[in-house]
Amino acid sequence: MIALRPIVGLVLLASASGAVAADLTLDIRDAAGRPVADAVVYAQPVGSAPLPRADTRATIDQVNKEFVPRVSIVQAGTQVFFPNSDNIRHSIYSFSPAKTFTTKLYSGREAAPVLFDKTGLVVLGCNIHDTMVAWVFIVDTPWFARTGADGAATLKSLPNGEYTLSAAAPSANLKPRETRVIVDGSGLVRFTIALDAGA
Amino acid sequence: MANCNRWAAGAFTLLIACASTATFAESPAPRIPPPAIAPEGSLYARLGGTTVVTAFVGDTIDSVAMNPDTNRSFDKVNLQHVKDLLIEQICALTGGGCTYTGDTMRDVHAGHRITNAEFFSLVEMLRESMRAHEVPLAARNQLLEILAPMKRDVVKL
Repeated sequence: MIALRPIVGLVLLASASGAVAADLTLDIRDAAGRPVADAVVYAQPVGSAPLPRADTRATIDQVNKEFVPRVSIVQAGTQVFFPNSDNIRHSIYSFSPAKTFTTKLYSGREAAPVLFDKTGLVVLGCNIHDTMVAWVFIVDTPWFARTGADGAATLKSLPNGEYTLSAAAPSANLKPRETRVIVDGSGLVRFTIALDAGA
Repeated sequence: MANCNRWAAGAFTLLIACASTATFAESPAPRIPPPAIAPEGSLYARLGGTTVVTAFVGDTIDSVAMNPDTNRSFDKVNLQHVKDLLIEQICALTGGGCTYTGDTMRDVHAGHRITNAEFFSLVEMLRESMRAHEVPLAARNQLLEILAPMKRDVVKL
């Protein structure tokens, strides 16, 4: 679960052109300034206007007894498919409150997708291969992205407005952070978020 | 919030709130354990009951997983999970009173393309482990007789 605390800051940013939508790039760093790969960022509009939908399907594959990708971010309501490229048996489970399930993946048999319908963080494991682990962040917004090896992620086509911007990484050593941003046609289109070291 | 940083972003100062860290995966629920006292007269009892079956299954799986000739299909496998289900399956098959809760042997082995050589190596390690734990010859042979037909659901799938 991601526990969110009250917002204490505000930053203005937007496209330089003043268009109605901006691409916002975040550089996620750890406390030592190193890029954090496989972190997630997402922008939750402030207010209750209905949100557009992102993809309603996502895929987490099983390759050489690892989940690929290791970290996913999806919008609530997404069906996640487990295609099992390994073609041996896996037994996927989650005991996370946002989605508790088990699904068995057998050689040569397609498994039904799993609907992730509640927001939160789901940690996936495999009963058979206990080194397998994956994280799925389920968010209530279509504006989300995952960082690459360079620690950068871009939120595409953010309409003008006010957002709660969150950054998190699947590590007990990196604390999630959030801030309030306003996209209004002037200001930053790229900035850095440092994740504090955990307890 | 002493542990929350402040930094400048363009003309604006940014304060980022902190949040708690992530939850991590927990272990799956435990199965019903095999019986402390084996049913009298059962093959399970003659094998030595849960104590001895646990010992020779554990040794067998450890041997298979360590031997370079047989460890290929055990890469990254949770060995305790395999041992628990194999004990449960032997208990179920030999009158120990357990119910096997695992997958079919065909589903378990599908895709691994187990060779005849790998299969017979495992059988040999099982025989050796049973001998080492002083399982009587008749009980050893009876167990192997029960397990032998599983070969068709293990090899070359």
